[in-house]
Amino acid sequence: MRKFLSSALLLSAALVTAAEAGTVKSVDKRLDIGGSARVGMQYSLIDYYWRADAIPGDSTAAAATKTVGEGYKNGAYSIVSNESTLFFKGHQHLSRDARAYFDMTFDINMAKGEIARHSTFVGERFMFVGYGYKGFDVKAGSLAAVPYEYVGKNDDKAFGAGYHAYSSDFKLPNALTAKYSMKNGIHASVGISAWGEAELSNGGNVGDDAPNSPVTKLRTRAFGIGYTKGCWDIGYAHNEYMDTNQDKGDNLAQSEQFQTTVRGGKYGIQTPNYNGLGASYKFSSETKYPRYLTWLSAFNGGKLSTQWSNLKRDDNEKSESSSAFGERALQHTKFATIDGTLGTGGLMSNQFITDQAGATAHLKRTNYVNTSYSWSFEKGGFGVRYSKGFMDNYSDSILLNYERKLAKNIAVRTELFVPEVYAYDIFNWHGRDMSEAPFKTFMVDLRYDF
Amino acid sequence: MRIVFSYIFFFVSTLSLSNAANTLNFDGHIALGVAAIIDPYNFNRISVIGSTEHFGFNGETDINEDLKYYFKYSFNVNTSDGHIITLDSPDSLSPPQEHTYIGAQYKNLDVCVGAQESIPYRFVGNVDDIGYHYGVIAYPSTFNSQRLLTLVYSKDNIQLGSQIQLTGDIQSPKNGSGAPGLYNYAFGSQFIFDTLVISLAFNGYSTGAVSSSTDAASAQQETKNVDGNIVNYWGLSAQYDAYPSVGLFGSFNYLNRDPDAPASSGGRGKSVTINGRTSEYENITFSVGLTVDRFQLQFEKGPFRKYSNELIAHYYWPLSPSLDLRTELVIPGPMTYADNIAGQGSSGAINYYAWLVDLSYTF
Repeated sequence: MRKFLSSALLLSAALVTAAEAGTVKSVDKRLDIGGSARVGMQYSLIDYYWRADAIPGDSTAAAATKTVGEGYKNGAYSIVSNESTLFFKGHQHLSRDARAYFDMTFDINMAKGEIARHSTFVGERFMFVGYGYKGFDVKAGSLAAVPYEYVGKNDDKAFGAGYHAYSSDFKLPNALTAKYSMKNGIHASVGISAWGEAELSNGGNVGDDAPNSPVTKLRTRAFGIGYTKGCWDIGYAHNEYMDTNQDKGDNLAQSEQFQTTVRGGKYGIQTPNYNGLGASYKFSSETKYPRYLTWLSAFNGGKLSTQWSNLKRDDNEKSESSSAFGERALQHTKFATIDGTLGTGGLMSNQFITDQAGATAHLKRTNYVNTSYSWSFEKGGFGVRYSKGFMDNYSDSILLNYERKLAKNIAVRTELFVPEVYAYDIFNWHGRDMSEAPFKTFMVDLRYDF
Repeated sequence: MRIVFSYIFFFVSTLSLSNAANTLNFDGHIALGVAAIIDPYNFNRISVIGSTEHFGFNGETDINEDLKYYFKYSFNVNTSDGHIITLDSPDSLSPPQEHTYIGAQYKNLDVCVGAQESIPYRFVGNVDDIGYHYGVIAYPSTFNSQRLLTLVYSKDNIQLGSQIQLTGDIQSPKNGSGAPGLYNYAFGSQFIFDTLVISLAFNGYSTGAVSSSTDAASAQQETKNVDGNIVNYWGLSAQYDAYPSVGLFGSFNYLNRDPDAPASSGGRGKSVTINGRTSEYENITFSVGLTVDRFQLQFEKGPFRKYSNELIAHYYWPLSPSLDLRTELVIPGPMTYADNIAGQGSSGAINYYAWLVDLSYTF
């Protein structure tokens, strides 16, 4: 349920009107105030992740000490909030063909009772102003990245903005995008994010992106092309970071691409390029299937989605860090393997509790791969997604969710997420704002749209 | 759908949108004034302050006569500083700055989940909280709690409530708790006998639960016993309307501190010294007060044997249905700990007198 106001409301959010009752409507100007309140309970489970398995290269004696007794099992209940929002959106027709619009969407963490705040390199909120003329649209502000709109959305099927295999950017601040849509269903977009600072960084604060000197270059540039018509929505996107040796900050929520480093070539250390392909198909009762495909009619009303993401990692580049956890956090290089000591610093140790401190946990070894993909199917409130993660083993996940309407604007939802041991690059999972460890989770919540 | 704009004041107005089954309201409160701080230990000063200011949205959806769903977003604002208040350092155990929750009410049963007022506060603590800013002295238990699930049953003149706070974190499943996620639990009950209202509450923490790093959480949450566990709380409040415009109220609160509870481990110890004065903690705190029309007077017995009592008096003049002119005088002892008294923002030794005059506008 979105409440519909109109010209009495100024874009500045000042409410200026005469006392009156009744529906206020205007053809050429409108403001929507609304949001989605979502909060519920989650059970999360760690079971086998930190078992001290022997690894290749261990001596017999060393291996014998690592085989049993160090598995870690624990479960926890928590009240969680998933992508609750409050928004103000408006648009105004400037002429028959021209329009202006804006969006101010605030993320709310209902469980903790706070408005989500800005974090490193990630727009926590969508806030933009746009202008459109016929099939042309341009937007500026904090908005969805071009590759997300063309590819990533097909992976984003979890209730908590939880995409997994999609490896490029989602929310992008300081962004400018332009899109042109044709009536035949073909559309194309270009986008940039620009972080040029007029002065030196404020002590390297997050988001400044200028720890040592002013930045004058574009940060990212992307383009996408797609076809959306009838049952089909197909898109291709490319995204690349312009600066070399990007400051990754301390927030991993931006993207797997942003957290990955490659070296070589004329740019030195830099972020690899991304290319992705996404598609979805809606099964419709109006579709005439060939005789041998009539069984597909069983899926009518459903939607099949897929996306394939490719990061151009270096094949032969090893991490320069000697810390296994550190190298994973900072490099995401091709041959980064993950093992190390819990509780002694570094990314992974921060995610686990102190009663595991000092426990040596040699994990399963695997390698990063360039291509990750996901498939999903949704029908009647039910959804299932399989995601192939960023490593050649142990990084896949299965997601099941179901939403049942209790009223037009209210739904009860439940979601089961079963990741493998290395599936921890899962962004914005269940109200979290960064990638997290691969906990199995079962969640039930209530969604109230207004 | 119906839209009602009432009158305009500054940048806001009452906004209510509804149809037969759904309502959405925009509401808030602004209270801005001047406080004279008379500090016998440092220096006197004058400050422009805001008190318990907020704005937000709330809505209801009626499914049928017996069942309805509701939600609330309420954000604290500080008009004097000009910002929305958020947590400066996120702490999964610290009290939320905002109320954000969803609930369902079925006949006499109400279930609510999110960041909200705790059960012991609803049943007992609010009787102590008569200051124009959240001003609890004698009440030592929790006020707002994040990640809270509450269950309240109301029938005739009886109300029963319970809560659990689940803070098991995906980053750290045992974070803040000795049990997997269960951090806090509480019960409350209220009985109405004509002009007399009596309430009881209990609040406990799981074994091994850690204290919040935020001092403003509550005295209980910051207090540990010898065994390292957060102490339990028991509370009783009563309100009695002697005459139509005359009432009495009070709260009695008990924390089961060990006599030799250490000051270590983040807990409040057996005694403390402030400004050269030393006193020992006591288990019992209480407040008693009197209401005569628009005037309220309250005496509060603080957590120390000496120097922690407080006298608070306030009065308001209604200038319009939504606008009040208010004044408040607070006279604390030299070792009084207060939570958010008169816009000061957090607990701490509030050992200065304060006189406040402000305008309170509710929309």
